Amino acid sequence: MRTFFALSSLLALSLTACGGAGDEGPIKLGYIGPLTGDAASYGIDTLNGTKMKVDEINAAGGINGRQIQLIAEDGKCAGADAATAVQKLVNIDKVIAIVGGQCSGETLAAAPVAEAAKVILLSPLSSSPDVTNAGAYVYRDYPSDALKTKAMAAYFQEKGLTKVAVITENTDFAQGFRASLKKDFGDFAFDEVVEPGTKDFRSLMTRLKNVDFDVFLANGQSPATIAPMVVQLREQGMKQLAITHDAGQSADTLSIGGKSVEGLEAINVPALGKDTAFGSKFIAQYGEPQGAAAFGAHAYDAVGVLAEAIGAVGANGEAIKGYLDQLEEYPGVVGTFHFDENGDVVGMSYALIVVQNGAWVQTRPIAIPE
Amino acid sequence: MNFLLHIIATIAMGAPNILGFNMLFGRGKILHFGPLGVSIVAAYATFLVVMATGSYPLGIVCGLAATCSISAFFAWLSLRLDADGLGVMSIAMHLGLLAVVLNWSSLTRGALGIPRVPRLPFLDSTGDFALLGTCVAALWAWMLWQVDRGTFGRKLIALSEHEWHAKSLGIDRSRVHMLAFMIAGIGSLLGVLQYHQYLYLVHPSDFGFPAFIFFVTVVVAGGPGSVRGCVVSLILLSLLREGLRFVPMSPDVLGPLRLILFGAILFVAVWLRRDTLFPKQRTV
Repeated sequence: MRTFFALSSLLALSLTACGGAGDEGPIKLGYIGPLTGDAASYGIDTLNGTKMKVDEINAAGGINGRQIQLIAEDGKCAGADAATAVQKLVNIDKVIAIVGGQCSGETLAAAPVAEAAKVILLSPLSSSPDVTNAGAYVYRDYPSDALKTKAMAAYFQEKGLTKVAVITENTDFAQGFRASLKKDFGDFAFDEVVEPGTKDFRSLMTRLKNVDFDVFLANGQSPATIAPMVVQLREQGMKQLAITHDAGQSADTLSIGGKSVEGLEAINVPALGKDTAFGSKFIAQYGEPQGAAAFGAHAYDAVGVLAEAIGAVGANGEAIKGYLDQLEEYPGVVGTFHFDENGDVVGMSYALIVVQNGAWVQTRPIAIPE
Repeated sequence: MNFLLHIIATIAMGAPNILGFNMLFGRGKILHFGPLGVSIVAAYATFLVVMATGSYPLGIVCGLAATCSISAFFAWLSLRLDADGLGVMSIAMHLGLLAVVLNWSSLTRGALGIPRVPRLPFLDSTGDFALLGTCVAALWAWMLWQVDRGTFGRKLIALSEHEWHAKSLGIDRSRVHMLAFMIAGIGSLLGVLQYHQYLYLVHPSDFGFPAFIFFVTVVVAGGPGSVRGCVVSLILLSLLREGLRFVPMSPDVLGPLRLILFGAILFVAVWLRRDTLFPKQRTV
């Protein structure tokens, strides 16, 4: 065991000593997201979106002649790992801004460190309403659940759907969505919460069969949960409308659900599939997304808006914050947007996207009530 | 410098809980797999009260009461179950407590966690946490070292080696177990009290099995029961874990590599200690 300690000490010290070398050349941009663990699919998509935009900017000559150096850290969808990741990015790598976190827990844990160091933290995926008040240097180009559920509630109202059945996976994303929709819409006709990763909903579906409802909301964290919900709903012969959100609008939902998910609707940012310039390029470079191309698109736009800010005001956290606060509009691939006084994205549009003939098809825009 | 302070702070804040677990699992050979279950109770009881009342003294009193209660319950289980039964039951308790936290969302906010946890006035910077954490960890390690080398430690060893013989020598098993669980519980409270203030966040994901596996790795690699070995192992494994972030490799390769490396360390450590790791009666 002494040999183990000696070798570990040597390795640990030498590895720790590897970092920290300052470099005036490239503009350092950090990334925090879950690259391992259950939520890795989101992290991989957003990292790919981040890399894609960084590569494009570098290929075009960089920002005012300076290349961007991307430094990615694994936040594992956990506050503890995100806190260490942000400490390294801010204090060792000296990044100018960070794209991340992805899970809301990552963003909330990283926010105080970024705030203290006056480093912009721009999340492309955190949707929890808690992120709104996470700090002055915290922004997101992914809409808060509070905004997304307003669009869904308005859609239900427009279609005269008054009795909503919901099955929610017990994760921060899905629970946040449920709480926010409840606030915007009111009580549900059927409201059940299942453990993360649940795949068998048959007993719940048997109970649901005896409930009078108009629409079923598959409120999971990933297609691996959402697709089985819809499949088992149809197995029980229930023909009511089934709807989901961005976590479900994925190629995986189609491959897992097959014909059972035909007609499944999703309310999401406008479609970013193979038929769009971004989607086709994303898939050509990185293959089919693990979660959804939209996640990569939000990360792509996060880099884009940060690069625009750095290009305009220089690599200074306070100046970038000033630029983002004053930003009137940024034409991103997910839509034209800017930020409100809390750093939440404004101007994001939503669309109704439906599974038709085995593919996600964007049918029409969904208005968000004021 | 701040990153170094952060690493010192996280190691120091983790130490009381891990050292407490080392006393139970390493020294006492009590197959208690629920230290994170105790942490859940300690953290939520403390910070729910702090968030509701704004009073840290009240939060700490409630946290202490809840921690002592759950520790007493685990001690009671350890007295009534065989080693393997306690192992399974403590895992079940951990999962049960996690399920309560995740599902009683009207109280705990479920999977959303408790954000914006306030800090005590003297805890502002990373340096403050590193200093306080190091002082607390050093005092705690010294105290456990004294306990370990004293009468109590010898009683714990005697019970782990041969319960009947120990009892015949007048060692009160109930008292020793109860005290050991209480000490470990207080270590848990000391850890969570600092850690969640540091993060400004209490989140259910901090109490999952990956964190427990790290506890086991530290104790087994450091030498079960050894306070000094456990401290050295905690420092080295934490440095190794965070040091790997500096390896110039793609993070999507490095992440799995890190998991494999820690799995391998645990495997090797268990293999090397296979004769002394689990409860085994002394034979002639």
